[in-house]
Amino acid sequence: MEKWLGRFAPHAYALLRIVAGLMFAMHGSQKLLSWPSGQGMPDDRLMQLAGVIELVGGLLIAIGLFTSIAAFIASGQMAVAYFKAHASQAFWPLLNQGELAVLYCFLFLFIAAHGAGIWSVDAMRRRRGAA
Amino acid sequence: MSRVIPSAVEGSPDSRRYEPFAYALLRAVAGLMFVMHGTAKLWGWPGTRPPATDLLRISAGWIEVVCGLLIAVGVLAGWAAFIASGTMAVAYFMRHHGEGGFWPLENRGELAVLYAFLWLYVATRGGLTRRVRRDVTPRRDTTTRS
Repeated sequence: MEKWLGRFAPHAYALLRIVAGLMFAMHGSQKLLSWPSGQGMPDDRLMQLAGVIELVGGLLIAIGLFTSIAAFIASGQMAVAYFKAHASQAFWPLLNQGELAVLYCFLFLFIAAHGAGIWSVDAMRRRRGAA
Repeated sequence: MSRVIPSAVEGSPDSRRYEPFAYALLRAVAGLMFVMHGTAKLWGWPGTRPPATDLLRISAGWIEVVCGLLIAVGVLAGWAAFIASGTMAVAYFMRHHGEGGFWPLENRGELAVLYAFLWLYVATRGGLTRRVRRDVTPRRDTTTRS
């Protein structure tokens, strides 16, 4: 399959990065701005911080600016979120509702290692820097 | 005018060296969690829900088990991921789209969306191919990047 689709790998990666970043940012906007369908700003300082990381980090990942750093921080945040909120409920991620956190955690770790790729501000800046 | 961008910002050569490992890790974790959706459907584990009886959910369960395992191990991962990606797209539009809201956050389809796009990427890249293996070997020269 990769023999035929291989040349689209950068595009598929960019799509994945943008979609995941935007959905991640929406968790932040849900916490901070009650959109879409939030329960209002949380009183908990930690939750507010989580919302800021999700909103800002998710947008940075989506547009591809400081991608590696943003993704690394987001990945760490998801690891903390998993162990603070989900791990105690049940062992398997499927049952403790933490599957999404695990998936985001490893996905953002991969994005941190991979970098922004095409369709990103980082790539634009690199081109300009090289010119 | 040349602008110097700190290499850490854009995936430095140092972090790129770990990229194949991060990719393999992501594939293994996501693949195995995907398998567990299948086992939950087919045999009721993990969880307390009874095994599925209708053909659609049984076939979805088998796709999840077989493709998830292949992706996690990295054998025929491209093909398996392509099929799994399509399955997730179908699952999203059949089960989640419009159920409770437009946004994936509201219709509980976020996981399906994430899997669909992740498997699409895995389909373009496959498992640990020879090309990737060459990247794994640490390069002496970390100052240049292609």
